[in-house]
Amino acid sequence: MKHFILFLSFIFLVLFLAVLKKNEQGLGKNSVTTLRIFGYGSFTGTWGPGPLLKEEFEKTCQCKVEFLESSDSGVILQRLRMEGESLRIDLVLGLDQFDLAKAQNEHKWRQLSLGNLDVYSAVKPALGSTSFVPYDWGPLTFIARKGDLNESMPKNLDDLLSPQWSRKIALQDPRTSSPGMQFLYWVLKSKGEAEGFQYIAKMMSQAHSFSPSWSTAYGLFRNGQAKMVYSYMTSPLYHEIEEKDPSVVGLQFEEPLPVQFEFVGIPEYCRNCELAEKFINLMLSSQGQKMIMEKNYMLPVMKGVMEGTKFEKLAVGTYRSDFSVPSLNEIESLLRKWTEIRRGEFN
Amino acid sequence: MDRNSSGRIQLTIRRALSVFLITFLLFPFLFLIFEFNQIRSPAWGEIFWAFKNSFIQAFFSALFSVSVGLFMALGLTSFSNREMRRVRVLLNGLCLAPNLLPPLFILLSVLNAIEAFPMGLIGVIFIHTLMNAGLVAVLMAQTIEQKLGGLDELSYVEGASRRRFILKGLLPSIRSEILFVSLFVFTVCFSSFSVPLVVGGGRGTTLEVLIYEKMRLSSDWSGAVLLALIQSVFIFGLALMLKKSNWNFSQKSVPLHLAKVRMGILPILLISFLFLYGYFQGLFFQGVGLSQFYDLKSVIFNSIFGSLWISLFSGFLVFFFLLLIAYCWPQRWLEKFLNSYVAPSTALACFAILISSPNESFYPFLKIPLAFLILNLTSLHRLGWANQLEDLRRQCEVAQILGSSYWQIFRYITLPQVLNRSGLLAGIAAVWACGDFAISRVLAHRDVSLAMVTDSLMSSYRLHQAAVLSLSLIVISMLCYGIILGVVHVLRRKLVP
Repeated sequence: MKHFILFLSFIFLVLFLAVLKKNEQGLGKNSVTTLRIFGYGSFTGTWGPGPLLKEEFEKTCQCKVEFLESSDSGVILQRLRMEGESLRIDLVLGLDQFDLAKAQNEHKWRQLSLGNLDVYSAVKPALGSTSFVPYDWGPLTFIARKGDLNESMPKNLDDLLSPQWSRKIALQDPRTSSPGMQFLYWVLKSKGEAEGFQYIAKMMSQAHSFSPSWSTAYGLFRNGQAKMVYSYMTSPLYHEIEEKDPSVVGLQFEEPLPVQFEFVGIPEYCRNCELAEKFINLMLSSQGQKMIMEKNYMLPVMKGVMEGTKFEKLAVGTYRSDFSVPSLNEIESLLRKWTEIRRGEFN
Repeated sequence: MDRNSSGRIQLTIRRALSVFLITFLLFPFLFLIFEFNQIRSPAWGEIFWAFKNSFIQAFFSALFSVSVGLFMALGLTSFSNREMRRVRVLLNGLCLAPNLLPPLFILLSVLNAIEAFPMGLIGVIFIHTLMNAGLVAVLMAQTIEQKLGGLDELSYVEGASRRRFILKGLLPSIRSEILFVSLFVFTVCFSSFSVPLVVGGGRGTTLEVLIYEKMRLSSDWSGAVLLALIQSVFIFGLALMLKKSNWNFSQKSVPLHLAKVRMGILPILLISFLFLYGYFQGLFFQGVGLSQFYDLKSVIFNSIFGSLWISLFSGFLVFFFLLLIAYCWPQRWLEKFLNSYVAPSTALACFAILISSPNESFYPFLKIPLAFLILNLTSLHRLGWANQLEDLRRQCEVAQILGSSYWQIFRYITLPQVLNRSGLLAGIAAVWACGDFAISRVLAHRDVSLAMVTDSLMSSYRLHQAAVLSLSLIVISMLCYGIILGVVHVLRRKLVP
């Protein structure tokens, strides 16, 4: 019996050491300065631009870059709020315009001094903050397969109410998903609040479902249960480049499309603030922007990066040029109304 | 040391261990209440509506899951003899398969297989039944085999019909098990998150969604804690109302004659078809082949150790804590607590564990299994442990009257009889832990397991690669299940005289 317990303990010890060794690989040792970056999984993970940026940065910084992952920006802000300085974070990325009000209310951020940025005109309205800078952007729209659009191509929001699309549109729940919130905000900005909520009420019967996350909604579209999904205008490029499938398209609408910006900022309590700013500079350099564009499938903010790539040929159509950071009260009030409408729906 | 003082010391140790166990399980609530103690007046109308949705969905989901699961259990018991052992293992695997994968895969598989899927309440109940009926079947089949052998044989010899035996003998005999398993399914469905949102329609707003909304959007932690408390107190009250049966049965498995219905494997095959057809159609018929395994080999290799560790460590923690409960048992107040307590929602409990201590280096690898234990121990207890211990009550009482010490009772009476069941429950825990990414996503700073990588792939367009990776997840979880059962088998051979 003793031998058996010793054997089991040995196996667990070996497994634990193996796991630990794997986990510690690439992390900064005590003697090396470590830049700690907090972001969401699809940016910092194996398939995101994070590892490439890290490799490039470590070539010159004489430091180590360590990514801390979270599922989404909402959780990132919660963790910053609860763990604060003890997280020893130098840089936070992945916040969108719906997170900025909360981020500014709950935390102190360092002023950025990045000089004049030669950005695309679409990005200029998002440069208003001195603490956050956008590093990528993308209009959101409905994505469909060419084969499903044979009969009629929706040209405006009202066309989505056609019986042809009844129960065929995969949407996200705005209470749990950022694209879901973007759709709600788009409709209300395009139609005004009163008419917008009437439209939302009609859309309830058109939706296949309201998924808790973008990935679930996109999964419904990919598996063919939904004919359309609310996603990024850049989504078709993924299918074209990675899967050689040109059949997925983003729809153009008469109403200017909403734009999601992703921001990066440095918390006031950063330990390696200079390095953090250098990392932002790398993110905004041509090389960094190209990495982000190609791996994150979002548009670069800096001019001259898209040229000569498939992203340049992407017809993004017209998009909203106004940029606003909705207050927490405004968001809560909109969601309350949305929930009221949602209550009686069957799908 | 005389016999009395030794008894007193053992009694003190048992009580101290019981208090430790309860404090350990209550930790997230205690910590959160201490941290966020300023509770504002909540919107009761909204809470009542969400509560009503949660209750209706959970009630009907539990009703259908247990009804279908029981019928499936009778199908499983048809394959309990030695010659059919391999078929039984396969059927058990098919039953447990929906418990292995992220809910998204189940949803997509079922939606793939059923063209006009019924959205709304029916859809939620359907998916929940599909997810839980198999687990109910495996547990109930084991209960029937262990408890009803004698009664089955007697009824068979006396010439009772199968229908009469099932209605008058089997169902009343396992009434308490049915109630406890129903409560387990009810609890799981009551706090379900993704399924009601995707297929529940307007009724998709449950208490769990409100908790998430309060945390994520409003940063209203005290409100979220209050909702979790309401949820837990309700289930606590519900569980307290359940009465246990006083039946005692032989633990020896004997061949069954009446407690088996071959037709019971039809729902198993049907559910498996729905699940596997949709899964493999999504996997192989849409441009993704096995060649993708090659592309993912480095990722699979890198995360395999993390998955093994999380799964095995969680399984063994569950195993030891179940035995700890068995050692501390019977104590009325501990029993009532374990039968009734429900941990707070996953997100809340994980945040409590996250902010309570460091999160660097090896900590996530300890915290993930501990969080898993806190969240699932009482569920597993209700699922099949409470009744297993209940059956030993009379033997323990007799031994105590005859002067046996607590340790002797545990070592020579309880342990030999509960090892198999503890192994099964620990194996199920290992399977769940292997497929979990919700706990790990909060507690780990990077992808440390196959389940987390699968989740990351789904978040970056790569749904089909995620599906490919989920196949390796199934293999690893089955491996861990087998390892735990194997270890428990060896322990049994060494410990049981």
